[in-house]
Amino acid sequence: MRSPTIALLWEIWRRHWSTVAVIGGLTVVGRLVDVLESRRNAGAESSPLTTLLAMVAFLLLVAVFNYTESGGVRGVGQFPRRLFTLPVTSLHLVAVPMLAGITSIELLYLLWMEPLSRDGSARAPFVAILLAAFVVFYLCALWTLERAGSLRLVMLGVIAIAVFAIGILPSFPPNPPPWWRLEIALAGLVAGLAVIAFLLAWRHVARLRDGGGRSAHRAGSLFNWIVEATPTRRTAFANPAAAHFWFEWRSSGMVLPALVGGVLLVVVIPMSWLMRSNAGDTFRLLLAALAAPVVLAVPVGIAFSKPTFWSEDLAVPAFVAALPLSSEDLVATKVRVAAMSAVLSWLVVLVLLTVWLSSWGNLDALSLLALQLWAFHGQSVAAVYGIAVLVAFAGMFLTWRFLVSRLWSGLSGRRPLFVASVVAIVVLVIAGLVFDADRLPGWLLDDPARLAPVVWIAAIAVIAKYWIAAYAWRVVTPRYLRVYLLIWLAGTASFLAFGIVVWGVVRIYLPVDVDRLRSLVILVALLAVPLARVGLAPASLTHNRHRS
Amino acid sequence: MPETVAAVSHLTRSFGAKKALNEVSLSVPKGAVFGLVGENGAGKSTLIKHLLGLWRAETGSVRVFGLDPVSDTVAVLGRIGYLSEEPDLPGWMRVGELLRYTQAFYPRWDTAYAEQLRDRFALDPEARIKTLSKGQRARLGLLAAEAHRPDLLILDEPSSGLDPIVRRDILEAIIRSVTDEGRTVLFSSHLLDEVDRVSDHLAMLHRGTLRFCAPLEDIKARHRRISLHFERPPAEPPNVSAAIRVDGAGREWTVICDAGRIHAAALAQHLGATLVEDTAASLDEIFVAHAAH
Amino acid sequence: MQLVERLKHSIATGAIKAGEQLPSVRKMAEDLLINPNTVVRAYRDLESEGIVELRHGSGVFVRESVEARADVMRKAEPIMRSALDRLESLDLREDEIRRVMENELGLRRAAKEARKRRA
Repeated sequence: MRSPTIALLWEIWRRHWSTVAVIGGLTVVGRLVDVLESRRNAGAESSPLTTLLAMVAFLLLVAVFNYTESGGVRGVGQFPRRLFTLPVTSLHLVAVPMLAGITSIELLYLLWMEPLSRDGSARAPFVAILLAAFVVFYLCALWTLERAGSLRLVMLGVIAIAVFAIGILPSFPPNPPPWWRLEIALAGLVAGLAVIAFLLAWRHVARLRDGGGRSAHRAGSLFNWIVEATPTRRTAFANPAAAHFWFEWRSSGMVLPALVGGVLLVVVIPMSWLMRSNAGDTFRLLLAALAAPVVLAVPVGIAFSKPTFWSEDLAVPAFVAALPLSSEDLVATKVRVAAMSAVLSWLVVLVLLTVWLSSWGNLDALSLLALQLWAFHGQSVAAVYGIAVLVAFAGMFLTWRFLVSRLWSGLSGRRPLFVASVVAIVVLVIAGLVFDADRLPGWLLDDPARLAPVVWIAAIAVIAKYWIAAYAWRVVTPRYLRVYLLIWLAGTASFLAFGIVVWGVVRIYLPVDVDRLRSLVILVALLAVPLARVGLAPASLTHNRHRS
Repeated sequence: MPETVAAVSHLTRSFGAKKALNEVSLSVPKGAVFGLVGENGAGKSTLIKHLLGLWRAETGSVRVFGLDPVSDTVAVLGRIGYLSEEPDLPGWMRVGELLRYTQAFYPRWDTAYAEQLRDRFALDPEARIKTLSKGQRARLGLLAAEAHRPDLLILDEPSSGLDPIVRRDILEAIIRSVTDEGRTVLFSSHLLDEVDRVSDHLAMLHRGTLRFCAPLEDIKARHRRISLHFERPPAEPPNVSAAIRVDGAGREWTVICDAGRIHAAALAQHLGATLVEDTAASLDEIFVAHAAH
Repeated sequence: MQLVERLKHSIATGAIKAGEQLPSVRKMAEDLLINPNTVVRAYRDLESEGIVELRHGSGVFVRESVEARADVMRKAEPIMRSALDRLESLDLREDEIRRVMENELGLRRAAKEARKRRA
């Protein structure tokens, strides 16, 4: 190796050469597919398949530039500490992966430029700048947030979504966009932020290397101070289950409420102030706020499903495995913590909503809806309040559901299974974005006949779900079964009630086959609460705990 | 027949092609201090994890208190105190909280005893575990394992990397446990002087196979070191078929062997050498001799 | 073995007097950090050599007759002192003196065993 730069670059290449090969393969295949498609329907937009392949290729490239090594405090990847003893400056160590990442992503974009920019939605230089900035943000977040454990992934997701949103912002109506939505302005903003991110990352790595000095401890100490403020448990525990509940709650229970509170305070509340004049926007923001716990429960649920929340390790830690606590109790504790977490998150939402709506909230759209509901349900105010309560309950159950549904795969200790179940979600989300999922209800409701196969599929899914559930719950003790069955009943009942209410409101607006739609709503409600997966979780954990 | 607290029979465990445990059968008598020795990677931790149910037996059986630790997890673990090699105690917990938490699981927890030990080990109840040094963490783990006076105290390489003062605390805990009626201690170590001091039963694993398992006294009585002096240096190492290890160079040769099978004077005569010494082999020598092949 | 030697030495020099009780097995084991069985064996060895006696229910006590031993030990000290003075005048080092002594003791031991076998 001639120089340190080449050595560092070679290291990145050597570690990920198989992934690079796959990216290359995908690019070749994608371009081929695209050429064939454009032969068939010349001049049309690039097909969804091509877009999907492009997305996967870019995702893989981002994975290649995951410039971390395991061994961190929380068992997650951190900046490779072993590089610190090499005779290279910190600037060098930080710049090499960043510049390599930027170069690679631009190269990949060049290769894919033709198919991707055919629809003319965004101009190439703008996209190029966004991609380069994303690499910088990504690496910066990866290195500076290592103490956040597996929640770093959430941050990365947020960054990705933010960059994507900025990318499509210029094309939003109304056209022509105001000065701040011009491509040039946004590009400038993003580039500026990227420079700041680079400097932050450089400073952080340099600090890591030389241990920081007094100020380093002061910065971390705010976080520490918050952590230290947690009250010490001073009373004895009534029984093992209560003790373990305290343990799990302290480890991971407050994460979802804190995240929800954070998102609402930092994003929703300021935006609500900005949008207070527009009723429609306020209503949409309200819906977003209500959806926040549910959406955030998905990534938190992924972390929650592992035996240790903060570590990426799927093995049961010896400390827990050696406790005289049955696997069922361990799973039951996690389910209870999830419930508490969900309830607390919704309390946060409701409190903040109350503050917002009663102070500066634009209640026009909301009042209109309430009026319609009041009129529809025989002019009873109680019905309106009842619906509001149902919404809250359904939301809580949905949040809880997302926290708990991955327990089966996370506790199993089998990495392929866990990764597959996570990838399934990611693919679903990507596919939803790519194939424009919000056109789906319109497409379905346009032609009522399209609803029939969907209803049939749902019906078969329900039958399969309950059959698998009966099988899964055979080996679980009756006490656990009884408790969970009650929870399941409550959840399903609330979903059913909510579904029926929603259907009741919706049907006056839509010219569809109401019976079919009602059946669909009922079936979906029956599918919503996880049954088999929670029943299988103890067996999964037992298998992980007593490894064979 | 003394009661056995733990019994392992024909236990095998492979990791891929490598056999971590190969048809291991041993039993731990009640009230014993059972030492488990072997090189790194010999299978000691794996065997211990089988006793705790952290590994499921591939072949053979594992019984602790007569129960299978995999199917009767709670019943077995409720009577065991375990200190692992790297105690992975949660860093965010405070010392006092950990004790209160652990107390909830073991009905026989003796609060006064726990308090006494905590004071003795100088553990601040408000300190967070992640601020404790390695030695303090080991002490805390030992406290949590001991305070409920378990019927079986299992220590997996408890002294590894610890200073002599902490090692003393661990040895004290071992002795204290066994002088308490009916309690048993099983510990694995490669610090042979400690094993020599406190154990009364010894088992040695080498590359997954059990080399010997017997009361310590018997093992020491059985193994002898025979030193021979040859007038003319033999061309090749003397061939002593029943010896465990033959070592030396030139005129001086040492044979470590099982005393029941070799008569020293006869051997010397047979090989044409003078018998310089015939003494009991030290535990170190026994260990090295068995680990050599 | 070590513990027996230490106890014998303590008794012989008078650190533990005749009629005094030796520490309990449990205390001895905990203080020295050795297995209680080792202590039990040491006490039994001492008993078989007649140095201590086991009194049921009370413990292990040093025999009265041991007192005589301490006197003998005290008489031995001046003899040893003069022998060492003479050896040092021969310009022998400490380890050499020790080797000579071990050799002599070994020869005497072997002779004793030979006589025992012949008898």
